[in-house]
Amino acid sequence: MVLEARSLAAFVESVAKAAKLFVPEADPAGGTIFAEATSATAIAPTVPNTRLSVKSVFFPQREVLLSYKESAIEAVPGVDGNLVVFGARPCDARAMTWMDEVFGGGGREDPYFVERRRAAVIVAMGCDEPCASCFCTSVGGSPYGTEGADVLASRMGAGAADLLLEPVTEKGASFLAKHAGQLKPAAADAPSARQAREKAAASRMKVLDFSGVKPKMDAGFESPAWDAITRSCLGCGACTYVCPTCHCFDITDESRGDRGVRVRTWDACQYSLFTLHASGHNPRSHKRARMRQRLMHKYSYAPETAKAVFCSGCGRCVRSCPVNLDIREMLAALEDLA
Amino acid sequence: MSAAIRDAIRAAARPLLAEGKVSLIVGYERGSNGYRCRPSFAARAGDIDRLEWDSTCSNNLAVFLPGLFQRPPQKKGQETPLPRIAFVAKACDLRSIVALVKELQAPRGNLVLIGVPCTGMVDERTVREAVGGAEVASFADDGKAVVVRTAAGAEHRFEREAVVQHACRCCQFPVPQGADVTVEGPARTPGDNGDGLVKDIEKLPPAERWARFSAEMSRCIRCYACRQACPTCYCKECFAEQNNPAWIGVGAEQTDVSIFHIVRIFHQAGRCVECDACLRACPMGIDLRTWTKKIAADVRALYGFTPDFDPTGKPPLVTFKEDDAQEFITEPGAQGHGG
Amino acid sequence: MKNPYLPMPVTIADVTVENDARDIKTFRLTFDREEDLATFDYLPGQFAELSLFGRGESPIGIASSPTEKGHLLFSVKRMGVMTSELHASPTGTKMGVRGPLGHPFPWERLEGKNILIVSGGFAFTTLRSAITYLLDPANRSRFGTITAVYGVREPGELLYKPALQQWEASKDIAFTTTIDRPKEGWNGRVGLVPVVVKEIGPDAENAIALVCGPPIMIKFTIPVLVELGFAKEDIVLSLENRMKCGIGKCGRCNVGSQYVCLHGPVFTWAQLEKLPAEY
Repeated sequence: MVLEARSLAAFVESVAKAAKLFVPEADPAGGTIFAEATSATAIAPTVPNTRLSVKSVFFPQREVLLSYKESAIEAVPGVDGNLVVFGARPCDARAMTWMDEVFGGGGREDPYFVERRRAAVIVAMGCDEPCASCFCTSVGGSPYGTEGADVLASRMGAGAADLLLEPVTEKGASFLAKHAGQLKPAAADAPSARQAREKAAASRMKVLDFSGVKPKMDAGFESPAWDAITRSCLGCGACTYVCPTCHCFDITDESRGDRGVRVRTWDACQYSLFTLHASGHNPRSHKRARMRQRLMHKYSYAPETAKAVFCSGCGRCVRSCPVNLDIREMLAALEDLA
Repeated sequence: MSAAIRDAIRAAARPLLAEGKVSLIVGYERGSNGYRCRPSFAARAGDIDRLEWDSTCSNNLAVFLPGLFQRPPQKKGQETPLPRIAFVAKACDLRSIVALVKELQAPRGNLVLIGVPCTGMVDERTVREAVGGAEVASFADDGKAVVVRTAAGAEHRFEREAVVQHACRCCQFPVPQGADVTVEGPARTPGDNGDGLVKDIEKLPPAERWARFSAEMSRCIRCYACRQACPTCYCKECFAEQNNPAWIGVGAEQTDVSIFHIVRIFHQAGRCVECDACLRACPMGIDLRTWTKKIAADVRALYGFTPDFDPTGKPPLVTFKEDDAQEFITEPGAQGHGG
Repeated sequence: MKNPYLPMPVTIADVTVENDARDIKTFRLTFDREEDLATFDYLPGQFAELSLFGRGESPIGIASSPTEKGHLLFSVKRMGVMTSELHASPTGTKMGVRGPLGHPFPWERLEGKNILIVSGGFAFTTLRSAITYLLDPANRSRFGTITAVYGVREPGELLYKPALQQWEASKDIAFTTTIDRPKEGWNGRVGLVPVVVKEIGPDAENAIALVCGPPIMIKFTIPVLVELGFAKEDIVLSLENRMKCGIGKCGRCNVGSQYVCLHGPVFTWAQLEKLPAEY
């Protein structure tokens, strides 16, 4: 289906009436972040990507798990799963499939995350301008990848102002059917134009080979190379918070008098107190161990347990690191491990 | 111009390592995205040739000092020796190092400071915004103009002053003092410390000031990048993470976020060198500068003190003079300094 | 969908101070809701998250055996915010339990085997569960000989003293209690656990060892067991690590690719050897 530029406002209104709609909005400090919107004027052009990933829609920074009074549970918040995300990049959409593994797997489902995901529709926006810090094609992704997307949107038409909306899943097809009033049928050759865009975008990215990384990491766990690559790390946690697949969290109680809430908040393996035992023992007392954990979780452990590298190459960690630690350089340095 | 300074830094650093005067040199190197510099650690002769200098050397390297001088608890008489480390230091870095020396984070005698006069660092964010968010592929600075080329090939030319960091524009101390070696190079004309920037905050009635502050902080995601990037934030267990007592909640909830920033910034009183490392580190681009400058301005107004180059001076918050200002105790809420 | 973050309401039925230092207490908890008791199906080796609203949760090994009906036992050391509050809580206090969590000892593999139990210090709690389960008349005949060594620094640190006396006297288990160094008034075995195990020299033939103790004890016990002929897959350990969710989602307790709360806390030495020593 085609969403013409002149129909965008009506389309967005139609979607926002039927569901909670999240779009990239202009952030006062520059860039964009996902925020709830009811009108198309809220959508801001996103180059190359939002500050925070789409994970914040499904896994907010702070979330109440339950509220209590004295020793009894007073309430468990309901979760609104009627969500539409319009404009997530393929790297973000793909990362949500790995989050599904974490929050939905292990024999126990996390209802807060899973219920939001169940009915949510992700319209992924194909990426025409990958930047120097993007590397999705090096980790099995693509600027027009469809993993995790329900609908794939790509620019088309005069001035690239129209959008081709292609359903990827049944959920996506139902979504398009629901709002067909604002859409027009697409020409039969429309997908081939999208393919051409994908090829053009992908060709702008250098494909790095990380296939040798896991065996090198596993064998070189105690290598001094880890010290060298983590020397300048500040332990600031910015990389983990902007990452679409980092899922670590803390659970704490916040009370006032005899009432309170048990909340789940983002946490990071980069913090020195993350693994500190009550006894004072800390298995990861040095920052080399903490960065090693981050890289190995993504490139060694997740491939073992979730059959996927937990990195979609979105490059946010590279862009947000105050000391310009670059995950691609760190991985390359590890491949050189003796 | 910056090439000459770069060469001078390398020339000063090389013999320090070669003669075993230090075991490590902390400086700057070219980063991974082709144009900005980032912290560099030179432990061997070959590493010296990676040291760079240009107008993207904005990281405050003093942040690494506490960690480099950390040791596990020592047995008396069997202490492991502290390292001897050299720092390439702009004046702001040096003032942070001096603050840390005063707080016993490292003995001055174990530091070799290579001072570098500064013409001000270019603000990455300003440049990025000025090119419409496009990606910067390369960058050249001839001291008067900054020429930026985007990844798409477009060239933009800026008056240098227009893209220099705000922190640098009002910097009072562009020339480092008290370094062991000072390389030759041009420096900015000292600014006026920028206290005027906080005048509009000071004019606001408390309710409005609070609204301004909490609106800005509402975007905080409690990542602690500001804290970790700050050279004078080095507590092993930050008050924000204590759970006994739990002073604040750990999540991005308005009250908790506001108190975290208020307390962190107050903890910097008399120690903050207004380098804006916190602002640059924030992944959400929160304006921390207005508030860090407010604290610094208050300390200047109340105690006549700005963190300087003298490691023997006593910080104002650990000294007491009988004539110390105390209106903020006796007349809280009164307009003006500290109000 | 069952919400795995919601604690089940329980009540403290009684509290026993276990050690002279009075910092280890055993809490007997009863379920407030019938259906929770009926569905709390566990095996020795598993743990649960004990919850006190306003203080948080702590992961504690289950000390009772499923053969002990109607209640759960948890032995808790006072360490931090939550456990301090728990220690100050009298009988009748209402709290919460999430569980059972983790994998138990490998009971299918233990069928028909001779079992060696080696434990030190406070880690003995889940082995109380295991021993009580093994010695239950309904279970005893399914297993071979049972040999146990339990050591602490000094007699005041011994847990479950009445049960220890019974086990030492029992014919169904060869139970040795030992303390590290001689102490006046103690007429029992003296010696570090690994040394005592070596002296006893249990037969590794058709045997599996369950080893729970502080890292230093484990470090010196494993070579003894290997020397006695125990295969690495037949040395079973239980790990501890800092936990929060207890269900493998919060990312905190992993040792390499394995979450202690989800894939463990029980691991064989063969498995652990392949994992990074980050615990």
